[in-house]
Amino acid sequence: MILTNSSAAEVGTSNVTAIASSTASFRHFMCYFVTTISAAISGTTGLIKNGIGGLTLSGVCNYTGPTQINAGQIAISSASTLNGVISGAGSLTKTGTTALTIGGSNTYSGGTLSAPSSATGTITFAQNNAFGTGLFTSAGPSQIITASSATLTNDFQINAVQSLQFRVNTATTILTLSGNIAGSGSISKTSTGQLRLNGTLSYTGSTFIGAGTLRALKTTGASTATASFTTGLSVSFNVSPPSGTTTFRFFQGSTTNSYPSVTLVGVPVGTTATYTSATSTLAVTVP
Amino acid sequence: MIIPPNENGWSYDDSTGNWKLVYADKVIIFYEETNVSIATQSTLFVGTHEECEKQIVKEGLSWPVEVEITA
Repeated sequence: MILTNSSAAEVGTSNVTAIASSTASFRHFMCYFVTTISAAISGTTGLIKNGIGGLTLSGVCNYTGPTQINAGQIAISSASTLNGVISGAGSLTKTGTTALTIGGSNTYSGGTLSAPSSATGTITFAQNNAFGTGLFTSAGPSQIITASSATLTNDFQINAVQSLQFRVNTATTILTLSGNIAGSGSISKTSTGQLRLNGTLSYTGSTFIGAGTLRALKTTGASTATASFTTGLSVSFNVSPPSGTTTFRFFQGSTTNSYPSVTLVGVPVGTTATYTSATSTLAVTVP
Repeated sequence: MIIPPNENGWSYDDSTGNWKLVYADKVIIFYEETNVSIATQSTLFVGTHEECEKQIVKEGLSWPVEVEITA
């Protein structure tokens, strides 16, 4: 079924295999069942998705108009670029093995599901609100990529046995996550930029730093330890831990990397520390 | 200058007005102009910005390089 230039249309269970040209501001889709559009979608016309059924866009999508997901989900499975603003109460899903680029600063609130079938099914973004305001869930070998400094306020969920790779390109790029990261999956940090994890980190999988810097915080007592994990580990304190041994646990799971030597910033002379990768804990001993 | 480690293997510096460079295995771990104290089990070099830059060149230091991984 082909729907264009319509503000009240319905799609049943039939898959859509062609898109008629449209001069309207939007293409409207009302989906009560899972519907697939296998044709490519291009041009400047936007897309509105209504109804609780899913809409899968399996063709290449490079249209530049906005995407409004009022209900249900839109799934993208081919190499596509969505530079228009994505809004609405619905959700966005990434599947397949090819890359998706999200160029806009978005407001959709239904969450993002990253469920690629291989690590090549990446999502590249450039804006603070790229993933709207909802939960970002990793349900596959997910990889999100940015070459622009940005802050994501979303909470993240990494499902069991799954991973989420943060590829922060270029050394001057800083990606800040102010939300929380939960689940039993693992995370990895790659490329030369910096990833700052400012939220609560309750995920129980491993943490791997392949390149660049991963920064995590942990407050124990009056001291907040800001750890910068690179090839080495340096930890800065706003206030030195008190005399005796104080333990800071940065991640609930293990740290894949080992740090046999540690650098401490802002501690008294004679202070020593040991990092235990199996428990991601730093034991600091102040004389 | 390189700050020698103490008997426990830790180098320490709390000078002010200097650049502080920490490296291990030819890779830079920390490099800042700071008045805050540094304690490290790696090599600690303290000096002017020019002196630190010369040390980086002399030792062939670099920032961490990327390691490709598969998810």
